[in-house]
Amino acid sequence: MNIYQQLFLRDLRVSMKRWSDLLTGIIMFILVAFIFPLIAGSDKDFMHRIIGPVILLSSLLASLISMQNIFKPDLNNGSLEQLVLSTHSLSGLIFFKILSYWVSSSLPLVVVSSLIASAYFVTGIDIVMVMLTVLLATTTLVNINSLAAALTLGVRYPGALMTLILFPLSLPILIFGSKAIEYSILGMDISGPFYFLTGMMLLSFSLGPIATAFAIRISID
Amino acid sequence: MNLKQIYKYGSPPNYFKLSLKAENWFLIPGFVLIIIGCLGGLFIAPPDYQMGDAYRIIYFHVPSAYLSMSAYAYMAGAALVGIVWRSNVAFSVAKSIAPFGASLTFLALVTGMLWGKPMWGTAWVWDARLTSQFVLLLLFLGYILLHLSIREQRKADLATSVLALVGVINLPIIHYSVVWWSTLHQASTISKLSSPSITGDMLWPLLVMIFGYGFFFWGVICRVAASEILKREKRSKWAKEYIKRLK
Amino acid sequence: MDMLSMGDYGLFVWSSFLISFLVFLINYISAQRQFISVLNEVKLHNENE
Repeated sequence: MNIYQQLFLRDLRVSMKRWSDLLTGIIMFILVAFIFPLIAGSDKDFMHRIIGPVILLSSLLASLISMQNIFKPDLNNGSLEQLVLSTHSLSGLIFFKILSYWVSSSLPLVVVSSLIASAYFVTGIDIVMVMLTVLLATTTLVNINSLAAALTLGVRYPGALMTLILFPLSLPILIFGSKAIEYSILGMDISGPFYFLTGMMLLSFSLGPIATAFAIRISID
Repeated sequence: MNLKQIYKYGSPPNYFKLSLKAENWFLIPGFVLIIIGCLGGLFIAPPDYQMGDAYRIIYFHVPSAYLSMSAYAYMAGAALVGIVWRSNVAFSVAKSIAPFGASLTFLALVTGMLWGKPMWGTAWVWDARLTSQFVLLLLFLGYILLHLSIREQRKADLATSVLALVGVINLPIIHYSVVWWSTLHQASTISKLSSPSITGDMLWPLLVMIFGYGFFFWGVICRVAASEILKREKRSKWAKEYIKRLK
Repeated sequence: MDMLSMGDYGLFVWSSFLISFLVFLINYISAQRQFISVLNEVKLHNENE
């Protein structure tokens, strides 16, 4: 088993140990999605109209809440420094780190979003579309979050700064993600938004780890 | 052209002296052009057939919006040069552009709102251009805040440059997304939002203002970049000699 | 005076003018003052050495 596989599995194991951190994100996701109908009305047409934006907003806030957990714990226990000092390609290592973070933090969201979708009176194939949108959108969001977390590693109270960096960069995903869900519910052609989401996923997973690795190098030494 | 002529300005003392010398060559034409543009736009150009005199806000809105976007591009370019060549001069220029760029974006938003109130009846519309400008403002503010948050200057330079580059890659994506999204929502108001087709005697003050803003912008940047470079190099020999010669 | 009213839109047009003028003025003045303060800072630094 090579170093990348080992890192991937190790990060999975570590995040399983810190399951309460993961749970925070999932709970945030559920809470935001549940609060909307409670305070904004719950008739079927309205819920069909807002499910797109609500799902994307919940994903954004869930990722925001758990952003600190991407690199801070590893920085504190010294393993991040070891990764930087190792002879292996930091971009490669960070790629697998981000991938494992995505698996542990966002795959549960995909499952939960199916429940949310049925709570929002969505039926049939549209539930699969909602899950697919969450799957694709969270890949890009995870990369943007990692970049923001890496850039602000050395900052003491990075909360507002991370949000400020996150919002403009995640705007396209939010727009196209909610449109994807909306189009599928309306029965319109979903290929446009989905191609965009897939394209952004490929772009962010290819360039994101490089930029994040560079940012980590800057923040560490 | 001899490349060495350009490379020598990568060194802080040369760039410092150059920008102080160049400053007035930018400020004065900029100031004159802005005066001419204001006179032309506010008084000489004829009132518009549809919108009367209110369209004159365009002479303040368009140059600031255009310059704010180019300022971000310049900042990202300087950031790239700084990262690739590890150049203090480039980082100083990038850092200097950010505050003025943010003020220009702010101006574009405010003049846009002042345009919207009489034209569309409402100060804010969720159209592509206003929303993209707001996002641009956030990008500038994020850059400035990141600079202020990181203590060590070298780290701050590199981190903010990464942010600027990621932002510049995202800027067309964001703009495209917002345009796409807004055309869906604003289909009924496209005619309201389209700019008037502009005749020659209304166009020339606009061009003059655009150039005037640009020149004045670079004049101010010369001064701010010079301060930034001097501050970074305060321990160096050339700084000491410069101070001695000032006395 | 009718020039000043700009066809009832005077408030908006002249406010845009005023705020643009103010923003440019503030940026210009802060650039000059920043340079002077950096000069003083470097002078102080060199005197203390």
